[in-house]
Amino acid sequence: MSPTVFFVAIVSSMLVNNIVLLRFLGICPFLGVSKRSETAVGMSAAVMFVMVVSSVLTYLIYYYILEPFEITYISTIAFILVIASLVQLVEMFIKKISKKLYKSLGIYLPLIVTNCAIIGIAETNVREGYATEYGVLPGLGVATVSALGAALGFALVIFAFSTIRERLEAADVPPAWKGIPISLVIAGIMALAFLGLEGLV
Amino acid sequence: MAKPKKDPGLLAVFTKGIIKENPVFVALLGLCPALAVTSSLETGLGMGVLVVFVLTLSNIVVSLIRRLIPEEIMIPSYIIVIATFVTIVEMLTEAFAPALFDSLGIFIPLIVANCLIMSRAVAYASENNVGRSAIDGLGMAVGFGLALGLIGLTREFLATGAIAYGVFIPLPVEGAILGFDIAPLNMEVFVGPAGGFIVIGVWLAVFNAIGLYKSRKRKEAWDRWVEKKKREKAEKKKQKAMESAGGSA
Amino acid sequence: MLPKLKIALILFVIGAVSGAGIVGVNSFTEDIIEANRLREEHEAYFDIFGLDMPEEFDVDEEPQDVYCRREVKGYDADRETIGEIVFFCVADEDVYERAVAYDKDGNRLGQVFRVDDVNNHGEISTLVAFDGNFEILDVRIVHTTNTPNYVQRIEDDYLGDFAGQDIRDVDFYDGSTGATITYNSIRQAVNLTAANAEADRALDAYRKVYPEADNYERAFDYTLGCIRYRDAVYDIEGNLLGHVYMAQYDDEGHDPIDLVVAVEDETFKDVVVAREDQASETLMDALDKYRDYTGEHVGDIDIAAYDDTVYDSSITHLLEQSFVRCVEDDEQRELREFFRWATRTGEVETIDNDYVESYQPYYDEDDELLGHVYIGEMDTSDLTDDYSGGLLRIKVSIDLDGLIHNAVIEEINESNFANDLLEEEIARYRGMEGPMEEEDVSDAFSSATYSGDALNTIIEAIYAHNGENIEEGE
Repeated sequence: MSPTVFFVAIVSSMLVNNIVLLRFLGICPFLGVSKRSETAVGMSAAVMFVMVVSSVLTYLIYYYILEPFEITYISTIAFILVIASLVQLVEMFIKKISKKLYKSLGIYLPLIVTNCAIIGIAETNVREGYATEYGVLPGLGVATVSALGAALGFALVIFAFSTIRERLEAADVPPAWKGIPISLVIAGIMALAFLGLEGLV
Repeated sequence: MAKPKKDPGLLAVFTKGIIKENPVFVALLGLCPALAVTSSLETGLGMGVLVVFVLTLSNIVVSLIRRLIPEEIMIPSYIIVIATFVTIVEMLTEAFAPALFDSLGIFIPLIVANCLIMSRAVAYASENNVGRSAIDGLGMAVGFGLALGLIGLTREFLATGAIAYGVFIPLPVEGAILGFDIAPLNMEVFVGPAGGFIVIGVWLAVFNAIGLYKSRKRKEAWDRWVEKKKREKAEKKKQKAMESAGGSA
Repeated sequence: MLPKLKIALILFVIGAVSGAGIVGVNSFTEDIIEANRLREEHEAYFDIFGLDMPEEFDVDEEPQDVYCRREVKGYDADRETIGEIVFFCVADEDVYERAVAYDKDGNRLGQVFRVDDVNNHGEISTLVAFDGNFEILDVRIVHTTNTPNYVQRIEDDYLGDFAGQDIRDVDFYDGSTGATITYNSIRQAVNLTAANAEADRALDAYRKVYPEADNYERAFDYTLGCIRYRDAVYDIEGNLLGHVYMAQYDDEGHDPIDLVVAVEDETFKDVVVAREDQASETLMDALDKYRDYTGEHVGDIDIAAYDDTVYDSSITHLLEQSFVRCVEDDEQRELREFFRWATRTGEVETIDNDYVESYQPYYDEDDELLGHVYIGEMDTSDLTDDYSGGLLRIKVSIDLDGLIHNAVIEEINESNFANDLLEEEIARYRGMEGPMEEEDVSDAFSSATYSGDALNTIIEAIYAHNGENIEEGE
């Protein structure tokens, strides 16, 4: 397996198949915590940590527990439990480290559990068949790297979006379009721009 | 002094999910599937049907066990309940509607992470009785499904100029309705991700505009009513004054 | 402590109940899902050839890495065979697999190629089926994540146009379909099928001569004449089975015929019909009588002028042409063994020298001298009394720069063990520029026999002589 596999994986999952704009995962936090760029960065960091760790854990659970026992059909329930516990951990961790960050992330931190980006990436990792293509352990490497890429893609998009929204607040928008509607149209335009990255890898 | 809130009837519990508290257009919950599986009317409705099952059943079960669950493990327990129903629905879909299963793909297991379902469990089912929770879940899910259907209908029509049905969901009929020939005007972008965002954005704006119009009307009506009352009061005063004047005369 | 225990107990009960529920539903749906999967995967293959939809499937999967072959039999409700589909791998990586369909009596119905593509809209898997005449039976999409409406429109409006066309010459719908990405994937599937269909048809034909044939290489493409190709046929492990000639004749007196003529070591092996649709009884009967020549050297065969059927003159012509090609090819092959670009040789010059017997100049197609091929020999039994060697005779090609192009043993009288060693030893000379220094001669070899020294001695002698030739050449 050549190192280019990792490079391709990271570029592909970060830009070409951006989870938010092209795969529609993680829309809730994308719209919810993108009003201020500060909170967007904090959320991105939390997502990045949870996403990478949870995809390693879920991958190992899938291939070393679920598959040998032929109970892959309970993968959904197993994955969501792993993610929920992990989020609990991160929450306690952030609470200890920074009260300010904890306050600003507020309700959205527990909502990482219902952030479909996390479980979506976990499911994608086992569905994409990295294990059959590269072998179980090298496949774990590729899966982890593409989870990292997805998280970076999430961070990139949510940060860019939050800065746009900060400026949008001062803009003179018709009342019916204020807030989420105009933001969604802007997200659509961002998605159009990301379509241009198709074929990059 | 505020009057004690009147207990809403079952019908109101059902309909509030469809219009007043529509999960997609008002509460902005479950936008991931609302964007991802709405490239056609049928996939949107298909997702709606699955959510109807999961949300109604999970609301019922959560409401049933709500008194048994200590506060500390509320979220994990609800997650298990929801994930169980999602898994069951997933298996049933794969068995009985394989085409729908294929076209919804990863978004079936992702129902588990749909904020709508968890929020109804926490916000409603854990505080209300079984009947109400069931009706609430059903109403919310139907509202969700209808919203997805509306988005899907818009995108499919803009992109292809036709509405196909009976392709994924095992319906006895199959074909296309509303087949206008707008081939040269087809806007492929609307099946893509960008189109999804834009269509939802536009619909939100439309509903916002309706809401704003209604509240303006209500305000006008209120103002008129206040005016009328004032006038009546003034007239009454006048009358009274005249009466007293007449009496004294 | 107690509340914690209670929490754990409640979680456990919830988990157990939900687990039981999932397992229950799973055991109920498992079989249906498996049947769905089988049905989904195979129904299109049965349907495409007009077979009834089987109630049951029987999948016989041989180990993939060895045979890469899967047989799927379909049965109706009474366990009567409906048909059989045999799946093969295709060497072309772009093609997912190839299948051959048979009806319940074992008649071949045609082939179908499955091409999986990933385009900008997602995945799309297309089946392209055609019969023995290369006529397209059906093109259909079996799985796609492309936008359903485009797929629907293409299915409704364009896929039907393919049926009845010749797969090798398809008219594609050009213009704005409004779904060009999806349509392009289908176009690509049809083109890939066409490219591979020809190859697979050839292989099918070769299997009539060599049943274990698994692969072939185009050894020669004769652009002109009725002999079209010479192909080397290999089995699954890559062993060469033999060479075949693909011969085609289109005479006004009869339908066109495509024959496969197999010739091994200039010995006629077999002649068969390449295309099943041409395999009429008359032609098969006509071919039968030519099999009498099987095992004869092609140079000795004098084909009788049969005149039983309209095909006879054509068959005779094709066989003769194949034999001529074979002799030509084998001569050329021998030439090229010594100098890769050689096309003709000059006259053999005999020399009266101790170890060099003769040499022969080789020329390329522009009549440029390439070099000389020497024959040298030495009787090793002369070297010592207790050594029971014998005559060693070698053939060496040396170009004008003194580079050894090839060196082979012509004759040897050693033990088998020494023979093998000597073959290895002489191979070491290829690409060298002169005889070896004494210390370079293989120890293991020279200690076992004197032939190693003899070999070097001969080559030294050849080089001594070659110097003169080079000077002459210049």
